[in-house]
Amino acid sequence: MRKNTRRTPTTRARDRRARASRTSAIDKLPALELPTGTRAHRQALAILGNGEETLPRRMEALRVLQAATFAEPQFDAVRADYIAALRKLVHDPEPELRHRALGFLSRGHDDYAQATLLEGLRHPDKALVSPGDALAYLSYNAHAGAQSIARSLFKESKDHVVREQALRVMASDPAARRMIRTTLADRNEPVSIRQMSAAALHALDPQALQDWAVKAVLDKTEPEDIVATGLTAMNQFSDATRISGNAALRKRIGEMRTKGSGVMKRLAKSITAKHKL
Amino acid sequence: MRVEIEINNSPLAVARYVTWAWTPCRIRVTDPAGITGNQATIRLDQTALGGGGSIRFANAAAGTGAATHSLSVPRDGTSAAFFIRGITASTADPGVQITGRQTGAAAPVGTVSLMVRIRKDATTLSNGERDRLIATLAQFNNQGLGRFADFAGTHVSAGSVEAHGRPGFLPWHRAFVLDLERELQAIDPSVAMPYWRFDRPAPSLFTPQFLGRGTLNGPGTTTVTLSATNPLRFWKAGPAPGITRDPNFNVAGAAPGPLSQATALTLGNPGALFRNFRRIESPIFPAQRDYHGSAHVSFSGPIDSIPTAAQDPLFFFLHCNVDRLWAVWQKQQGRFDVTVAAAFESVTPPNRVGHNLGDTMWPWNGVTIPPRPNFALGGTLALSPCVSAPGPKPKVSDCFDYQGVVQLSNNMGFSYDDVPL
Amino acid sequence: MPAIAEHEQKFAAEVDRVTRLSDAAERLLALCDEQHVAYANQSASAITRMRGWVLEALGRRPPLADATIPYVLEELEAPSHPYLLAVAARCLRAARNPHASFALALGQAFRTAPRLEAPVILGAYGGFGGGPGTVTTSPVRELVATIEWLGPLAAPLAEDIHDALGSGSVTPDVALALEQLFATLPSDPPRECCSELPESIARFVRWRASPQRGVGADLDRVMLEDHCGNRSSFRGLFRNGYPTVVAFFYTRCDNPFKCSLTVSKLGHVQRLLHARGLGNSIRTVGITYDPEFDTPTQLSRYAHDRGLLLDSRHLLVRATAGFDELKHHFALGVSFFESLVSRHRIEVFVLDQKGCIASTFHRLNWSEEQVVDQAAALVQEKGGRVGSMASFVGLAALAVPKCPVCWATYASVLGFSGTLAYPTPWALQVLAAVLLIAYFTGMLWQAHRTGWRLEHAVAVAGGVVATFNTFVVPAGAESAVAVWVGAALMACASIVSVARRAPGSSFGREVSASRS
Repeated sequence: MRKNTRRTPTTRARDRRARASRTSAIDKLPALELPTGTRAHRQALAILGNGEETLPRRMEALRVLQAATFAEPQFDAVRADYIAALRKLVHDPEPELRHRALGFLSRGHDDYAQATLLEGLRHPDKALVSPGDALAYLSYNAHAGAQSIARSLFKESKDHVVREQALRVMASDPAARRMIRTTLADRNEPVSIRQMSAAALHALDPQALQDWAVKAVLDKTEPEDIVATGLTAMNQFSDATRISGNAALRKRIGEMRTKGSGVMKRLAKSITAKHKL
Repeated sequence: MRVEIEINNSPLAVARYVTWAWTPCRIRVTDPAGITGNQATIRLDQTALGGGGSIRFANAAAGTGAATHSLSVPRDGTSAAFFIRGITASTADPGVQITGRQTGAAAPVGTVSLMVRIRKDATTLSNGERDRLIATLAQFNNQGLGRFADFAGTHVSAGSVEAHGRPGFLPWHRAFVLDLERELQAIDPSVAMPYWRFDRPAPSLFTPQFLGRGTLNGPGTTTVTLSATNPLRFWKAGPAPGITRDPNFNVAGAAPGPLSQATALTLGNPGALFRNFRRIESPIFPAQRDYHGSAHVSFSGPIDSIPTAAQDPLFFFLHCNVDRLWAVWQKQQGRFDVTVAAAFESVTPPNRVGHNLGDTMWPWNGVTIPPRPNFALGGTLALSPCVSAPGPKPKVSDCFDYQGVVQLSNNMGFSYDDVPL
Repeated sequence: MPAIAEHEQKFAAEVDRVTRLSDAAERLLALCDEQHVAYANQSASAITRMRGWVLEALGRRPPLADATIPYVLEELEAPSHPYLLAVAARCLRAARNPHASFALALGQAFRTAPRLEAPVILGAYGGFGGGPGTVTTSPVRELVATIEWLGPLAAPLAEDIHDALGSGSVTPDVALALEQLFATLPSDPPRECCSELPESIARFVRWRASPQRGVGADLDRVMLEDHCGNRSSFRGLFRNGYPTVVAFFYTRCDNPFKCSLTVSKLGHVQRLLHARGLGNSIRTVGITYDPEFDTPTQLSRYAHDRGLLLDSRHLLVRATAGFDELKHHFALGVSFFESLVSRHRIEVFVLDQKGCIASTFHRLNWSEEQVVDQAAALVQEKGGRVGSMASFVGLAALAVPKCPVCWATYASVLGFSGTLAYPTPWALQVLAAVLLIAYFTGMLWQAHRTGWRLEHAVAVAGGVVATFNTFVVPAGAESAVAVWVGAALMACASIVSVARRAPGSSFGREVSASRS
């Protein structure tokens, strides 16, 4: 039986500290006094790159610059310098800046950021962020080359965040299809992991997910959240005959309309009305 | 005697949706039994149905209208025209029933049901409206295999020059949001795109029942928490499933970055010029605050970068609000007529192609020859059974008179709850 | 700085070693091939760094060989990575001479570069790092320098340069360089670039396959599934009497200038074919590099989004078996990282009616008109061959005995020889079946009337052989030999029949006796 990988007291305390740190960093961002035009971009870059500046000022400079990227082409003139600044920030002592920079770079498929993240996954002593966060950043690019390491981490890690993010990366990896199907069916897995497996399988093999959904709904020993996930998948994405043509399923949905939690009753009624059961 | 009443001059049920704009209707006799003379006088009344809402009637597309209306309808089946417009919005479909009665008679001779379908503040949606919207969004996304992929694949770096940094920014995004809204309405005609009023608190938007809850001040790696019955948990718009979004502010309050609406509306001054107003797009120094770009970066996740922003459904709520602000400004300053110079920013030499009034807009024009991008996903702009504007290949100029103020046929088929006609 | 993976370190060292050899240019050129073993099972990012390092090495050894230039132009025409783009722009300046045709690729790169702009460190593996001998640059800077190198030949780029200056999207020093360049360009630039590469370069891009590259037995393993889920063999799909335009792609390609554009252009090919009345004579097939991920649903959606027509003649397919054989047969320029494509070139093929590769367009932007011309020529060529054959058979008929039955036989022979060349739409097949029934009925009636004779048996045998080949054997597996054997048997039967009826023959005497 796999250990419960939900949040333990240790991980909760770690999360609380991290959140407090982040909150204090950006709660009140001060206004910067910047000139007009592209000189403002350059001055913001200078503030951002200056380790002597306070964190709130650096965060505000970063916020202003990233907001300015939405006004191409004026920003194009400083884009190279901005990317250089972000790459430098990836190694900044301030975790909030590291994360922001990695996020912006990863979403732009920056090779430097991807290589750094992969190195951190292979050699944890060089990791700049947690494995779960690293996988989340790498998931933006199917060509980042994270599939095999995602599969390994999914098998070996006890951290549910890591496993959840690994599943997201594996959703673009046909070689992981069987592993995902097995995880989805495994009652020993936490509900959140099984739910993410459902989403991942949906991406790779929608038919397989629908097959699982029927079994899950008919299985009265499945947790309610899992049944709800299966019902939602069927209600949204299944063809009508799969539901209306299955007598056992119709009967089960009929039972759910009168028994179970309010959420399940509403869902069952919705399916009944939609498919005219 | 029987009459047939058509909304938007169409017999189709999918055309029975109105906004604040004057909507052309017609009525004709289908069974003249009991009519003496060449015509019958019909009185039109309205009744609120389950979805609620109310309308006004008029002989012409002008004035305030009245709660009821009487008109003469020829016996021979020729149509008689009248107009209606929404006054209060419906929350479900159908919302309002129009009943026709022959003057002096109690029995109805014809009815038609319709919905006053309005773009609303997302925080004011009823649970039913919310659930229908997200179910429709999820179906349109269809785990990444649906046509939503065209929208996510259009708002990327390679196409961004068509939509950003130049005067076409607002018209382009108006067409983009409208295109999505119409695609959703093809699945469920009762939905309208709501807006995220980001300069005000919107806590109910970022809940597991709606667009999901991220981690406050999280690093932008959190897959938002969604309830087990929320179909958005199967959302996929990039390589990986799920919606990743962490707020950089406490969502119990307003996003701190963007300007307030009142301040943003003054950006066009002096002179209420479009060329100044469109600076809501990106930061203006030394204030370094803007309306649009700051909203994008108030969250960490795909929404904060141009290449990935449209992967998050929140993008459309955000841009619906940006468009609403433009609509508010247009209403305040009377900027619906593109022939008025202040309504746009036409320059000599002309702006880059795609940013002049007479230019068709990519991707709907299907042009893939340089300097346009070499791809154009999704085909033409979705058509509406209710209105004909802005057409399948809209020009920049087609996206200004969205309620048909200057010319009724310019009506694009949407209105905002707080922007009257 | 991220550490370089061991494999890449070895690769970079090998490139550095090879660069010092006398035949460096040839060896480095071999490393540009996507199928090189060095790229096997490397991620897209790794391959980008590796290829960039090879191009950097090539650029340091001017003049650039003509064979190398397509690899450089490829990066400019389909820019997707700042490092490769900057390297390619710099590398082009090592070419012997600037050429007007380079302006097209440079224009594409120049329009795209601002959104790819990032710092690139040349002289450092992967484009980031630093140290002695390195140069900090960027894609835009390198492109501007190369456009300057192009000199007056950059005239077609005047509008792009003007747009860049007007939009404020370049740094002040780059703006200054562009202004100076703009001032030197003709005030009335040509609207279109000279898009034809010089033949010394173009010959490395287009080639006509040798006749030996036919459809071998190894392709029997290949099974293809189309966007509707229908399956067929390679022979079944391609050896059916139609020339086919084949393009390779995959839906997860993240370079909009490669697969997405290829499929869109395939749609344009379809429209050109229909405009020329060839829509039913020439097929188009897109084959995915990513068969595990690209399900029929994915294929359908991808096609629909890009205006590609899909029907029984125009398909998107995936290989459910035998992809390696397919890859070998087409000599595909693709490498994989596990099951995901990590690098590929643009490649389009024209297959003849027998499924053999007739011509290839690869690596650079291909012209839809040229591809259609190539395919159309195959249709005309076959039609010409058939016409010649038909004429020969018609002439030969002059020399053989004739009678009403013989003429019917000659018509059958001509008709069956025609089946070799022409597609047999279902209506023609129905007509042919009716005629065959009439033929066999007539033959059997004659045999019944006169008693079975040798010529009847031979005629029926000939009909059976030809019929079996044309209507029973699966499409693509027909044998031309069988058709001619069947026709020959029928001709022999005819001759024997006439010979018997000759007045001097024993049968002729019998007939005369019965009549008298």
